[in-house]
Amino acid sequence: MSRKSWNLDRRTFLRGLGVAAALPFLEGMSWAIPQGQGPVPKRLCYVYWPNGCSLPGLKDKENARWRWFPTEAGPDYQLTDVLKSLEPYRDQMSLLGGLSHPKSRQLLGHLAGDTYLTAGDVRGDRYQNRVSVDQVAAHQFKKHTRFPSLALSVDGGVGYKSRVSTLSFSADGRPIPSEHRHRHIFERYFSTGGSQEERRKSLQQGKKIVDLVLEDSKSLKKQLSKHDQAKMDEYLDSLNSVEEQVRRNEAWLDIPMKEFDASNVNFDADPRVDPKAYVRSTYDLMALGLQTDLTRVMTYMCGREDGMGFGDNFPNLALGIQKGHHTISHDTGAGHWDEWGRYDQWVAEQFTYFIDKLANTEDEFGPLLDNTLVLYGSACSTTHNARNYPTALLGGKALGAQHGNYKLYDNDTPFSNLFVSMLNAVDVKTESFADSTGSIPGLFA
Amino acid sequence: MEKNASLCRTLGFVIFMLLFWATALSAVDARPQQDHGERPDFKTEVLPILDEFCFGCHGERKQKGDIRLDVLDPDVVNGLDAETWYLAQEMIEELEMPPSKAEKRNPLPDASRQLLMTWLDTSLAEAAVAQGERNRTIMRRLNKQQYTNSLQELLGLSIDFGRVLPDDGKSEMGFSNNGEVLEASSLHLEYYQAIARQALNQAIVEGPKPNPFWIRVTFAKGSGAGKIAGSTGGYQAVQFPTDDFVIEILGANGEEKVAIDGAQQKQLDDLKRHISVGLRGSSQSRWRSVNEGVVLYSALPHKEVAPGSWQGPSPNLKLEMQRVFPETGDFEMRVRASRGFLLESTERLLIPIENSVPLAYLDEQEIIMPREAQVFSASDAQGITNMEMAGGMLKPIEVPKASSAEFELEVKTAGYFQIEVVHPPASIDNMPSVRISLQNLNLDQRLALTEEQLLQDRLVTAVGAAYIPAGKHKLKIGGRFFIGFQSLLVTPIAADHPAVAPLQAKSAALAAELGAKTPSMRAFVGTRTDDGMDYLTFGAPQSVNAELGDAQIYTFHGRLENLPIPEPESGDTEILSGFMLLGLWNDHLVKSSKDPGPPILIEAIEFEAPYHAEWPPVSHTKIFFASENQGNEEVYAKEVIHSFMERAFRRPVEDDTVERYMTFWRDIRLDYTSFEDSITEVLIAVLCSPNFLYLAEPEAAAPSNEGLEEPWPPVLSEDALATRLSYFLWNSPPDKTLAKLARNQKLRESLDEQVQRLLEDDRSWRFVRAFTHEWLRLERQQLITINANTYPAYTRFVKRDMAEETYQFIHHLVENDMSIFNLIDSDFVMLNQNLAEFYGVDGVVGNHFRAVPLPASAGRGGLLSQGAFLAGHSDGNEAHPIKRAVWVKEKILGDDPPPPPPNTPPLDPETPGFDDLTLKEKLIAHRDNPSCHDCHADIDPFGVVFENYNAVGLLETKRKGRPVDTTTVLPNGTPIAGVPELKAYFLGEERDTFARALIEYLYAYALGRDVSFADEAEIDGILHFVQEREYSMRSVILGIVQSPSFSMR
Repeated sequence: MSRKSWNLDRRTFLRGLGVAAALPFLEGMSWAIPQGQGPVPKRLCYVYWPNGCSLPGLKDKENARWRWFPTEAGPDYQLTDVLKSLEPYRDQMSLLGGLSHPKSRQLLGHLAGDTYLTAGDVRGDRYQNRVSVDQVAAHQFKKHTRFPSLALSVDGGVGYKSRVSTLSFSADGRPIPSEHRHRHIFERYFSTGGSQEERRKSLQQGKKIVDLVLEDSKSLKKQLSKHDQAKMDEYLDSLNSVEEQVRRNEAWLDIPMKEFDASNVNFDADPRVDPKAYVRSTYDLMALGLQTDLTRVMTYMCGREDGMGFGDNFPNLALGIQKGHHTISHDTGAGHWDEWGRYDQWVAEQFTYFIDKLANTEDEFGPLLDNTLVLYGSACSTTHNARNYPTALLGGKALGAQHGNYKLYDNDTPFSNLFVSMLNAVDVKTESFADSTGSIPGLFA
Repeated sequence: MEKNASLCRTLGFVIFMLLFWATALSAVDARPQQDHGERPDFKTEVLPILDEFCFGCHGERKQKGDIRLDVLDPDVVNGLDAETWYLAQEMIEELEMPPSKAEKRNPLPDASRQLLMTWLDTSLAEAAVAQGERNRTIMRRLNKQQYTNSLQELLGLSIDFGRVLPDDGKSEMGFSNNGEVLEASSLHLEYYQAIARQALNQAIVEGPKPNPFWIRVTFAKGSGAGKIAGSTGGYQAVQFPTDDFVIEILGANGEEKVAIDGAQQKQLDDLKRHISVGLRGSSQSRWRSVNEGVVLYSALPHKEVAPGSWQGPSPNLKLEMQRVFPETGDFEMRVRASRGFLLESTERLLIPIENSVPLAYLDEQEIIMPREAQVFSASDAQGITNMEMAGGMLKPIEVPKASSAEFELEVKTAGYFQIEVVHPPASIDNMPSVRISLQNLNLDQRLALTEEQLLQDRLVTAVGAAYIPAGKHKLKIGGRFFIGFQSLLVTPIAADHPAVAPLQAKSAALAAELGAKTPSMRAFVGTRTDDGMDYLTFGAPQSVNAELGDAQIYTFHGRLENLPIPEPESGDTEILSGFMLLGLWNDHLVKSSKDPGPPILIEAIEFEAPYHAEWPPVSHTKIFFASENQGNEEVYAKEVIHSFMERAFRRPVEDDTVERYMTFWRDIRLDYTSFEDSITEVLIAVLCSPNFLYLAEPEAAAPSNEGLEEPWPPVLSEDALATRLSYFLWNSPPDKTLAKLARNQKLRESLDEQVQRLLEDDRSWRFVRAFTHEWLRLERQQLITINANTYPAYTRFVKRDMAEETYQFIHHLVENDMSIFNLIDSDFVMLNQNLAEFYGVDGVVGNHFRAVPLPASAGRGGLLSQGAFLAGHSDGNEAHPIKRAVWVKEKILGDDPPPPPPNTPPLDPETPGFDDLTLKEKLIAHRDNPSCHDCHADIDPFGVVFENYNAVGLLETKRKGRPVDTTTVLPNGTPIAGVPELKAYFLGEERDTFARALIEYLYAYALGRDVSFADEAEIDGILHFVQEREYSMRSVILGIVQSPSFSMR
């Protein structure tokens, strides 16, 4: 796409800022980074696209190359044209077939997007969604990083119930707004200037209140029986951990970002002109966020269900297919597998760009990909069928991932079992998530 | 001195109470007093007996009933196994152990039994004393509901503050107000701080009263033509015609806003374009736009199957406001409405005639007309669409398309007329049809002609009858697949004409019947979703008594934060998102699409948000009250903070504590420009203090003189007692009266009176709901998925009313202080119309609950026959005897059956004919398995008797084609059949077992801790107290409040 000349200056400036702010302090300050636990950052990324995938029947030899899933399961599977860009990562990838959320199976496929990472129950007249799996991990990891998590999408915001534009839901099941404006994301999360004073002020406000409550609590404790004092200690512990978090947040304010180079990120990619550049910029920011340990949990919703949102135009803008993505997913006319398959291929190619980045960017613990689990999928297989989610899991070599296979599961394995496996692999120890019945055996050593 | 005097009073009272209890306890202890004497030695005397008679089944090899005795700590007093020893003691004492089979083989000698009992009794008695020390109520955090109630009372706001908090855990006995279980996490604290900040920002206001968003939508046919309004389409949309309503945007005083310039006009117009009216989910036959407004028939719930189930009932009328609504605050919805009318009354009649006999007839080639007939010939027709003349007749050009021809009909005297058509023949394959339109009424007829008729070239058919008022009317003929016509005849007929009379009579009877019923309105707020709506009702339903033509205004209050309005969007511009829905339906719910129910006429709907009855609001003046010291910031700050702290902490607050908060305030004062903002920071801290968040119960200070012989008993301070009492009976903080009594040290002496007062107060509903919900596990009925195809009548409204029946029932018993045995069986049932119709009980009109006397034969008295229990303990398709039995044993007998052992064989689907077996029959097969028999013999009978209640609690006599069988044998060997005999058994020999179980649950709820063996004596005391008061509901409550545990720390 054409670039306006001032963009270059801006990028140079950005690089300058990052380096200049970081270098003088980097070595000397590293001891002060307020992360208590194990040195290796373990991370989770969830990437989602809408409307399901191209999946011609097994008998349809003519369109076999547009099957999202390979034809044969097992270690010797052949990738079709759809995922062929991921071929170099065969030994760092698992394909999982047959998975879905039991409570979403009866839903119109588009609604299943609301529950992709939550396994919530949105059937019937009461919308009861629940916490998404990324937020479970974020709750544990947030003490190590500047931000608990990052929720990204093509459209931003939360959309609306039944057609959300975010994958992330808070502990009480409310959607967490996603972000999509690249420059805005960069300024808010990566730059160290601007609203710092305001943030410091709000932190101090919180801290003062916590201090006062602590004092009050200690005084109350003295009047209590031994029995109640034990209960009071529980409260004091929680207060202390809140106070620590406030302090950590304050400490982060004074700690410069790790060195990074944002000069190759195109902050002004216009999706109307070049969707490829636009999607790739998001992936650039994600890789950058992981590299700098800004956060360890990210979600990216690469388009909204049901023809909503801007992503519906991508097939047209990127490949010249004169139909919206949603329409393509419904189409049964001649050549429709070809259109759907080509678009799926395009989506996969952009995703491969992200995987390339993670594989080729190193932090002090090696390639980012080795300590990152990336889930790539959608909440329907064929049109509106909320079963057999197309699912690929990549990365995590250093986390014990046992890749190189295409495995099939039946209806008795809830999709949530995969979440349980992934959480445990990054040391978020848990026995269950939502309606899980266990984990996926053999996925991790 | 004053303080000492009051302490002495307290002391005196406590001593009195302890004496009272000592007497009560010794009087009740009916068990044969064991001569405790020396405690036998465990190792040499007790262990050999256990080894021989018990360890065989409860030892290393087997653990029947999940009980293992050989590993228990023989040190009952200091060890951790007293509770299990207590269970063993009960079993041995009641001769349930060793079991009869074992007894036959190797009977336990009396001397050994005696020795075992002596050892257990003495050990447990000592353990109970020791345990008592540890067994006190532990400091309780406010649970979600208590937190919400407390904050609401404190701030005077009705927001559901606790909604975002994580759910609280539940104790073993099922209660979420249990101190052990209620934990605090940093997540809680983050929420508490965030909620407090938001809450105070809502409570405390600045500046003049803000202008509300205030609109009025008035309905009348044709009134909106040419005016601006929105229109919302989309999947399954049922749009209300934009021509039939007018939107007014109102100013701060309710006057219509008038634009003073073009820019303002554009603003108002834009706003109106974002407001539309819709009836998605409504059937066209249940509502109509009329001259006077909108007629809504009674709402018909959808079967709970998508997509209908994602809508409100049919019809429901709603304003659809896209991205133009406020997101916080109280609001009012005002509906101008009256009774409505039937859309097909005698005055609005156009009906088909069955077995019609034309008044005109064909004689040879000539048509003989009745003399009075008005004849409209096809050749005179006006406004012809899609028809042409052929052979003296008008026939459609394109048959499948709608055709139409128009005449002017003038009627001199209003009356009944028959309408006949002279038309060509047409075979039934051509779907020959006729549509007659008169005024706004349409009549569609499909003609079925005989072989003989098809041979003729012209025919006369009477298509319908009409009541036609005097005057000129448009009369149209045509429709899709129109057969064509030569002429149209309109002939007067007598009012008693056989075609009209029955209909008229029926119509009049229906109108009279409906006139005797009262419609009501139920309001809701929601978000439009792609496939339906996410909605909640608010406020109570209101009966509409206003007569037609004399409409009144009905006002509904709500709070936006509590309702599912759209989430803030992200600049989304989708045409179908961001809709807040504000609507209502006619809450006189009906069960059939043929039943219109009593109609309502809606004339206008008004929405004002935020709504402030006064300014500044009470929530503000409660905190910043008028004071002569308002001029002196420091003094006033202290007054405000001190007063708020005392209300928040539910007790007097000492100066040094206030000073701590004052120091904080002085420290931050200059960070804020406004005084109010600086105070807000302090109040946030108050709301995060454990003094607010916990029911902290410091004990009353001991008197200074050390002359007491006995140690000072750990008596609760009066303030703490007031708090305990009000959270017990209101689930909320004490009111002024309670607080004042406590401060004057007068509460203990007026406990009885206060219990009665609290129970009379409406807040006792909070107790009834919280306790009943958790005690009876009502969430099971809310969570179970009932097969909607098998049980289409089990709608969400039946589901809601079933739970409500149980709440109403408990409340009724408490309110009228009735006998607790009503819980087992009662001669009345709490019903509203909706639930009564579901149960098949006649004569209950209106959707408010009331006690309905019912004979025992109806099978509906007591908890055991209520839908909430029966449906909640089914599997959604069929009755589930095991689930029901376990519940009955737990709740009625206070006996928690052991969980199934881990190697339980499942019901075997390989059994021949398995699918055709009822669950009971499958269970019998299961029980035949010897490894299952022992436990199931004790459980199954309590579920099998309910076999004639199906998965939704309705009586049925057959299942899977065979008569249901409710016969069973109780564990004690008594054969019984059906629920009535089970009830008789409970009311007979198990009377006190049940009373005791109820006491234990209520006691656990009141104290916020589970009951243990150490409470045995006290529970006995309460039982005795209750027995003396004829087992009345309130005596249970009173007995608990007066028990030592309730008054002690």
